[in-house]
Amino acid sequence: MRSRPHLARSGLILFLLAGSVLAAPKPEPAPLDPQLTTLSPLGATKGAPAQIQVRGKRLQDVHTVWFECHDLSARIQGITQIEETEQEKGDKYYRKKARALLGQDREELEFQVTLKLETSEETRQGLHHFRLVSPQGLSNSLSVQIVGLAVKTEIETPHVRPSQAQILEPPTIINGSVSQKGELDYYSFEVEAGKTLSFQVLSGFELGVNYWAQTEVRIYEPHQSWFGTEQAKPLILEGPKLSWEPITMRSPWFDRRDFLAHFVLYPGLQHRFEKAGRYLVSVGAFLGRAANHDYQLRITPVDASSRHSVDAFAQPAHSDPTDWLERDASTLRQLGSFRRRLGEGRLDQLRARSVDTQPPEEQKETALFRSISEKEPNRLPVEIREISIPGLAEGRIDLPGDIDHFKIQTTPGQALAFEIETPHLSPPHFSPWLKVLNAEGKVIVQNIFREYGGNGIDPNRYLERKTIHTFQEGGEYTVLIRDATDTASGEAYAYRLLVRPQIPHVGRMDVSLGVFSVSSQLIEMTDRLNMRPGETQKLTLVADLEEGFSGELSVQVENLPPGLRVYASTPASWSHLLVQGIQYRPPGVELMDPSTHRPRRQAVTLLLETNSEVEPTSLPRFLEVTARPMVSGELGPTLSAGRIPLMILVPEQNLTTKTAPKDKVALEK
Amino acid sequence: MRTTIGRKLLLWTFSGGLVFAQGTSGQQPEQNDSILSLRILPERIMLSRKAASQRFVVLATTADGLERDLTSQSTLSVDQPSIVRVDPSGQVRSLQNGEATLEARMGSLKARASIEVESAGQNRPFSFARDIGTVLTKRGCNSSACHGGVKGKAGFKLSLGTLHPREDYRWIVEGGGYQVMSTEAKGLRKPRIDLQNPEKSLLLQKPTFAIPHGGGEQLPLGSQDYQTVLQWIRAGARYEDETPVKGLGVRGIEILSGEVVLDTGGKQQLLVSARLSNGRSEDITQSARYISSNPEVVSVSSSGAVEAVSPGETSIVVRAPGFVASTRVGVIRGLVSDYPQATATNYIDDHIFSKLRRFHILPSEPTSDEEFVRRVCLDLTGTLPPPHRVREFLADPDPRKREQLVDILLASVEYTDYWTFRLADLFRVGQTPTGMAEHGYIYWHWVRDSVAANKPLDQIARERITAQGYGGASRHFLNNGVVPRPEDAMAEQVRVFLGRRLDCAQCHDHPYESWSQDQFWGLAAFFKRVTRTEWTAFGPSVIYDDPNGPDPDFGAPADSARAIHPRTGQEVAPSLPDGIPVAAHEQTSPRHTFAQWITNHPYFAEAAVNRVWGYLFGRGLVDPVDDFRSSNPPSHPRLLESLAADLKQNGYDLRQLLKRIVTSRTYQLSSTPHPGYEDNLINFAHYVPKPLDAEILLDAVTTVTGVPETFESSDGGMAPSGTRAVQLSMPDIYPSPFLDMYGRPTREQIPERRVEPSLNQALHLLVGSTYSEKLAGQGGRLERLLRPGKADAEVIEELYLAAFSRFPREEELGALVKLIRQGASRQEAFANLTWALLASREFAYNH
Repeated sequence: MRSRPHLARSGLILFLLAGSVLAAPKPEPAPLDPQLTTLSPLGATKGAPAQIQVRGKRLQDVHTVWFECHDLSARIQGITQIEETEQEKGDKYYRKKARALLGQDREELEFQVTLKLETSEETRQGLHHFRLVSPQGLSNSLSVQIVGLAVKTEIETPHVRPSQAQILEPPTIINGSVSQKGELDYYSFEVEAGKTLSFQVLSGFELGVNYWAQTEVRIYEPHQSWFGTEQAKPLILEGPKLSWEPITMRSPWFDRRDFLAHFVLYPGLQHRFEKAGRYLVSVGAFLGRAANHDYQLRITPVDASSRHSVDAFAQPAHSDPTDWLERDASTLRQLGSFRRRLGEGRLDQLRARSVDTQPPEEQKETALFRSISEKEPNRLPVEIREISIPGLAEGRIDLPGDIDHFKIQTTPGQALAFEIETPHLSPPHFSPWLKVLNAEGKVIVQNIFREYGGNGIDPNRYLERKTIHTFQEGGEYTVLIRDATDTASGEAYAYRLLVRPQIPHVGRMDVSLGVFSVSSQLIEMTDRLNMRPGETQKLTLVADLEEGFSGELSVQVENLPPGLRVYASTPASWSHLLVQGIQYRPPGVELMDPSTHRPRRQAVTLLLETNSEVEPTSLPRFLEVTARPMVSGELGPTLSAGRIPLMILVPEQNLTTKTAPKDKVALEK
Repeated sequence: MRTTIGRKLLLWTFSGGLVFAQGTSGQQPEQNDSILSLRILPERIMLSRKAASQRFVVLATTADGLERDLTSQSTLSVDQPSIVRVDPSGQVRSLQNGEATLEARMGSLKARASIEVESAGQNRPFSFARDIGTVLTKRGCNSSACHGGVKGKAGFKLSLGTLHPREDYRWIVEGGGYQVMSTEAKGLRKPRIDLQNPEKSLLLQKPTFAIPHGGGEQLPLGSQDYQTVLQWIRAGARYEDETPVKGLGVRGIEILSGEVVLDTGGKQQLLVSARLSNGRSEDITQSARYISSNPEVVSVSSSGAVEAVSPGETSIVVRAPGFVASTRVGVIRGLVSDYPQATATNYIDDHIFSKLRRFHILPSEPTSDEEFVRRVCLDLTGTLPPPHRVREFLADPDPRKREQLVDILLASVEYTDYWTFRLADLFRVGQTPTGMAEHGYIYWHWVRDSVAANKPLDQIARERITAQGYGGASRHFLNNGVVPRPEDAMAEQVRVFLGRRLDCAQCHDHPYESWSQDQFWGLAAFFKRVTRTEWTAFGPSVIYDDPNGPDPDFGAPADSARAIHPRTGQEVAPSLPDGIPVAAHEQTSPRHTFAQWITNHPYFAEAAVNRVWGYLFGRGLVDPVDDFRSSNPPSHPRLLESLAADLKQNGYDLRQLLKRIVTSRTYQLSSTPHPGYEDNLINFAHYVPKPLDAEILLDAVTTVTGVPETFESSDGGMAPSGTRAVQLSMPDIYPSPFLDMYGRPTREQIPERRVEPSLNQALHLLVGSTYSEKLAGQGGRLERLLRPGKADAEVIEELYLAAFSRFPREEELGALVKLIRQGASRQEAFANLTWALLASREFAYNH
């Protein structure tokens, strides 16, 4: 069903980036485009037919399911108006808040669309994004997870008590739903002594409901209470229980995709069962915060060798072509990932995002890349190993409080970058703390960036994956690396430290519909463009200019339909906030120079305008936003900055909106 | 009970003959009493230096079990009068080097004490701290009400009880006005001594009232203390250190008399000894200051003679320069003849019954099985036993059934739930105390896992104090989302784990205790490195210690994040109470040192057992449980020591401790006191009924009615169906008028539960939703009982077992059956009966 737009026409804009952003979002007129909120179940087995229910608003006229890839397709089988449950009525507090912010004065009707999903053995496993298309436009996207294991479905009968637990046989995946707030779904399974099982869960999020709704998994052994109550005995689980993972979610305040990270219960729950027998696992919304909360639970055995490896569960099936190194493809982290792979290839990766102006001699020098491994002990000068520049040091925090020492030799004025990778455990569970000391033992630079936040008293300290510094004096420096705590150690606390010359380059680029002025964060008021003839729409492109990149960027918007033009604007007056953020400086305290840890950022606003003769499109197409670095008039490679699906709609006055009947309808398309 | 003194003396003169009978007073045994034994206190002493002296007391144990001070009725003599001499009051003075024996005779009974005299020709070196400090302490000049107060008096500040003699010396010889927030002197510095005209010294003229003095005359002109001060000034008013190298520095004081029991009108002389750094002791009875904590029970003279005033129990606080000690004194109501032999189950009973016997308090009878099963279930699991278990237990003939039940309860999930709740209360688990619900959630998990694994209490303490990273325990360093100030973090740990409240010492030396401001800030400094980091814009906080302080790269750090001594304005280095700074170590958090100090300190085990004792008995051996101080001594100091030693020996095992206590006879005493002992609440002669805490009460109501409570959180969440109040991980996100009404704490500060009856509670009981909804609720116990058409008597019996863990008495059953039959409907009648049971004191209390 997916229709991939061809490059029909492109508009080219060359613009000197100097920054331009939109002001804070204003209440907008009630939207007409379809909006998806949830799907149920969250996934299916590849090659097997499946039916999926999608809920949302303004869905009465949807006619097409649009996937971003060719692996799978879906048909609409029916559309039903949803009666609001008592529980949902209770959630109106949040809905009202969201509506108030959006300037909406009434609760909209909700619909459920039944999709028939068609996959094959070739369908890639992972999350596949899809949208629904109606004459009013293209919807936001939701993701359906395709897996290889046969997916079981939660039984119809209640299994909210240990004695009612549904029996599972790992390895298995089960689609379930927490229908009531506070509900716990119980499952039971047999396990052999000494086996380690992994419990992973994917859960859905719903616009307008508590945005922090998460899924909680707990493991128990059956227990016969002397008091006669039915209460299973929770197992004591090792390892973290709470994590901090990025979630592609929808905020209740704005109709937008939001990549901000949020707390989730640790998704990689593992447990070694010392005793053989039957155990229980429960799934529920965190603190009972959500109802009609769909989840997909996977229980799989874990080998000792793969204990720290990253699993593919609940990861995108296809990589995002606009993704750049700062976003972790395996965990979806948008900011501050410590898991990107570092090594010799890293230098080429960075050079590929710039204009190659380096003299051949220097290139030779930097090509002499060496790796070393840390060995204990390494505290005495004779024990300390030298990291060549460029070079990589691999090590591990072997004992609590272990501080690994290395040395580097620098030349006067040498501009270096220190990058850290933590292949197994990442912050906040492992917080690698880097310090560079001069000969007198004074800390010259470290990877903790401090800035004053909201209250102006308690500074925020960010553990940074990359730190840059220009050494005014040449000579020997000591590099220390440790965990911030003195309690963590072991195999999982491995790190890779890359020391390299700074390579000015273009970093992460984001295309959005604006910037949230209060926190100077990028926002996307929508993740798609639905335009009508004679309309304008602004886009903001923000680029991170890393390690002293001082050139310019040429920006190009491709795949424009006939009748759509793009203009570049002058920079907005407050775009400097993107560079430093807002800091509340207490009297007598100097702010830390952010350039050691943060890229310079610049923004440009693009204006899209459709003329009155523009032809409506029946299916979406991607607007491809690309940028090319430019130094001294020389252009570098083309870098993908963003892909935004676009539809040109028929004029509003020509539309007739249908209202779906309350009874179930079979609206075959 | 008591005959006149004259008559007693007469009797004793006939029976044995008294030498020092004239003009004496005090206790004597009854006519038909006989003295069983005699002893002299102390039994062995060393008198060092010229004119050294020691006060002795002759104690006689009589058949009624009391030990009376009969010094003045004894014949005292020494075998070597050339070495020491003794006066009738028991005061012995050295004359020359040698050994001697002091003998006390009373009739045919004798007691002896050994005396050794050394260095009789040498004067004891002068020390400002010791000699002038004694005068200032004894005369009350440096008491908290006078110049020893927080701000001193009239610009003249002395440290409380000569805690800081060097500072006192400076204020005396250099003069100047004291300022709380600065080390600088206020105003013109005019010495308070006059070396040219010593008698004109302000230090003498004020207390002798030669010139106006707000405190009146405190130092009579010409008194020995006056002479001491005058001679010191005449000799040049030198400081002269405590001479620790000569072994004469004082390391502590001790009240030799120990616990004192008096009958009405009884008297006893206290003996106070200073422990010297050379391992010897020195009598300071005459120079100490004595304060009765309750003069309505006992009075105490300036020389340490205690006299009974009225029945009761209190403590005498003794102050000597730099030190404070206390002892308990009880005045018995009356002698109990034929005191029964109570069987002790373990050492707890030995201590409790021994004191009860000394105080002539009758212990109650052992509790019934009905009372025990309810009591122990509530105390170990916070849960009422179900009726079928009560029946089983009552029918079980096994003599070890109580111990077996304890084992079952300690292994139950309900035990884990309940003690998680207790510790979560103490550790302040909640959304606000940790900044966010997710933090509170993992903090709660840490507590629960610790309880479930029966983690040793010292390990729990170390983990909490040194918590780092992103684990559950570290979340308590994010109070309201902000890393707490070092002083707040430290004071909380000390209060939680040592049972001491140091907060006062934050701004000034503790006004009543020997905690100095320097010690406070030295301890606070262990937390000054604590900081946090994130890794995304709104990332999770990782708690860690930055060796360079929280803000090394920001120029001048914010004061909020450093341990700054408020008086000196200087940053303080971490130091234990000995004042020696602990060396900073880059690799490890200094909090490890603090945690080791806390958990190795004898106070730790004492505070832990006292807290647990408090949970079980409704009051601690020291009460309030986290207010250990010299002026609030334990009711049973030796028991506290034994429990602490036991806890330590058993690896700080909470379950072992609980088992030890609940299997004791003391715990298993009936809640019905013997007549006359109803108001005796501190000696554990009977189990004092305690009101159920809010969560336990609500859970009990739920259990009896069988209608589960629903807990909806303030953010729209819902606890799983069947969740009990004690299982709530973060009470502050679950609003509950019922729980708030019955004293649920917010946990924003260390919780202090006060379950005071209120009008709101009474109204809620009558018309409140908790009761009405549960009584009318579908699927509850009543509905189940009434459905099969059980006989009324059976239903009544079941309700009694559910609510009270006992069968209704015959008269209750008969009356209730009648009432039920008279009701408009059976359903309504039983609903009313259930309400009546829930509204009863028997239900709302653990007894």
